[in-house]
Amino acid sequence: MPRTRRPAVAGLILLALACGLGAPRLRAQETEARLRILPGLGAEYFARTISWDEATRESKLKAVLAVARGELRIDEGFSIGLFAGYGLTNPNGLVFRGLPFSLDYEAGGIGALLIGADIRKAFFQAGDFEFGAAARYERSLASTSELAIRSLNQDGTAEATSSWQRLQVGPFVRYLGYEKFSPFLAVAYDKLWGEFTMAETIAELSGSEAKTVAAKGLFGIVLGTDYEPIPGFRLSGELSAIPYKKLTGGLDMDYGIALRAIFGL
Amino acid sequence: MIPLRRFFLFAALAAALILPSQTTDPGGGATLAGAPFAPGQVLVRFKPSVPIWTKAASMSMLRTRPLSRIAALDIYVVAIDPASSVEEMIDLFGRNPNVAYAQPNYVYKAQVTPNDSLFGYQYALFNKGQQIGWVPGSPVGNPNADIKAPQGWEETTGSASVIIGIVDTGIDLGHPDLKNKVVGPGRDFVNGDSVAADDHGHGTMVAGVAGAETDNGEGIAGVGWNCRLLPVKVLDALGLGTEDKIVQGLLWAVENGAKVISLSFGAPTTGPALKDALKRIVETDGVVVIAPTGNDNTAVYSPASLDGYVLAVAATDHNDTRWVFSNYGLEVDVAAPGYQIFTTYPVAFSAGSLPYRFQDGTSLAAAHVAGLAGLVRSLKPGLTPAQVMSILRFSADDVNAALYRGKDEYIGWGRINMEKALVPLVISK
Repeated sequence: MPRTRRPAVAGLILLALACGLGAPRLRAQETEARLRILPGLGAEYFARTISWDEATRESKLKAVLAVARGELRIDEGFSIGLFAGYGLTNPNGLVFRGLPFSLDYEAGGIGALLIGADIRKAFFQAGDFEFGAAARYERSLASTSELAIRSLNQDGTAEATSSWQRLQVGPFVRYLGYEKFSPFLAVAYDKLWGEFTMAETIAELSGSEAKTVAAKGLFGIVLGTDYEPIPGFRLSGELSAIPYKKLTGGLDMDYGIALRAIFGL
Repeated sequence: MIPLRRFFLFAALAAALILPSQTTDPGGGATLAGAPFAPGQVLVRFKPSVPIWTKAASMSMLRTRPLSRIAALDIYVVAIDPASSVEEMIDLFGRNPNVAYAQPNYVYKAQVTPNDSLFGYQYALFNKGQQIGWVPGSPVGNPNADIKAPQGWEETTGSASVIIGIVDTGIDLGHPDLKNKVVGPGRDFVNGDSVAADDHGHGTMVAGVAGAETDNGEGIAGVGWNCRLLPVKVLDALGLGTEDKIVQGLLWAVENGAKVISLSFGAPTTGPALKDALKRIVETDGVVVIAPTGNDNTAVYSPASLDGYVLAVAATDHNDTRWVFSNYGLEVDVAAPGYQIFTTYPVAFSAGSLPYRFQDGTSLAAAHVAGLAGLVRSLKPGLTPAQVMSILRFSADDVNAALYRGKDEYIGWGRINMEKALVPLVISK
């Protein structure tokens, strides 16, 4: 198994095990189990500071994602979601100096298919507060964008290929004291990593460079809320903030925003 | 209920970010990455008819505050909320119909300009329209008719591990601008000794252009900045040399670490011995060889005419036009300034004056290219000679495109451009 897949798989297994251990306690508190499949839509934006060239350089990786999702509600407080959609990944600022002519990618978003899964499990309640854990894994499949090189006296082409993965795992606490809102706060291990490849062809000159990137921040907080304006329809919004250490020293923050709509409760 | 307000704030921000973004830069490309800008600030220009209270409200809504205003252009320097990024704020301001544009407060820095006292005379490296020559009333050149040296040095000033072999009349080993740049005393194949002293002057002039000590507060700057020089004397005091000496000098230069070789001489024809030597050092040893086309306004001389092994360099002037004596032919690959080039000259020949002079010739044009080849090899040591030569060709500016579009027999692909050869090319849609 490639080294880069291990954290994702291990995280999901651990969370699944944790959810499984917590399930009997919750089930005992409930009068009946419910198993439902709920369709939904989701959108997300994030900007993460990534490092590359053996962590000697950094730039921003931005992504806008839109997905359709199916949520399997196994029990009250226990759901598994699968989603697939399309995303635009913008790695502007990545510089490929291993090519015959160095290239500075500033061409914006590269479209790609996106797949992923998430799982959420509430373990117990204390007063109006619910405590649980959630995990999400998403993967932007490899996609290539062809670009023209026109600044030389020979025209050339560049092919930029992007792929990345992201794993979020962490506990959450949710406030259940409102009728239609249930705000929550989570602490998340949030790992993003990927590979960007640039291939260059200018007449007889050609070369290719693969660059492994990783987000600099690993732990962040997520603040959000679920909102049920009418029965059978739930909106969920969340804002994530992930601190990271800048290459030039000092701390800075990356942000992300996600919205989800779930139909049928 | 605080969470309720937060939710709507999140939702509004999310909607703004997820909707297709518009360009906020009037130039058409709001690219932030790769260009440094002042943190926590953006520059905002409102449309002319927008009243002041609307401007204030627009800034307040986004939790920003004006720091100062450039009155003549009605541009506000705005401090943004610490929780927001510059990019997000530019995007949000850009969605306001009252805003003409919003941009980062980019940070500019001086280009890498060496402190050599006579750098201002080197129009070939940085032409700002200065006078060409000592004498008052000397002609001035067209600004930017140069090889873009300061821009190229932004990316690299080369490596001391890259050695440029000056296979020529030798080098003035005691010259103040060269003595710290030569690898050692070199080799003299004319007199059969181990000191490649220059009794002619040509090699010292070529060496200065390719790799004079740079940023040392005196004299001139060398294109190759940190690259070192290997003196190899194969031409005598009259500037003449036989093919056997040249072949021996070439092979010795390669054995002693040269990665680039400047062969600033020529003849109407070449025997197979020199061709064999060049074939070996290029194909087997991976050395880049640069040679001038010649100064007689005739067909390209050898060894520059040996396509495939040698990069043939013609000469241009301070206006980016072909120097009238530069030889021509299909073998010409690129050009570089070769008219009134200010360079080092042997101390012994300078009669008490500064050991520098203005000189014409395709040899000096080739020396510029040899210096650039040294920088390319420093930056990308894994490239083959053919790849280095392609980089030098494809990055050249086609400065005579109005007369001859594309490669032509006068300046080949064009006058070399250090910025394009070295600095990452920005690719955008």
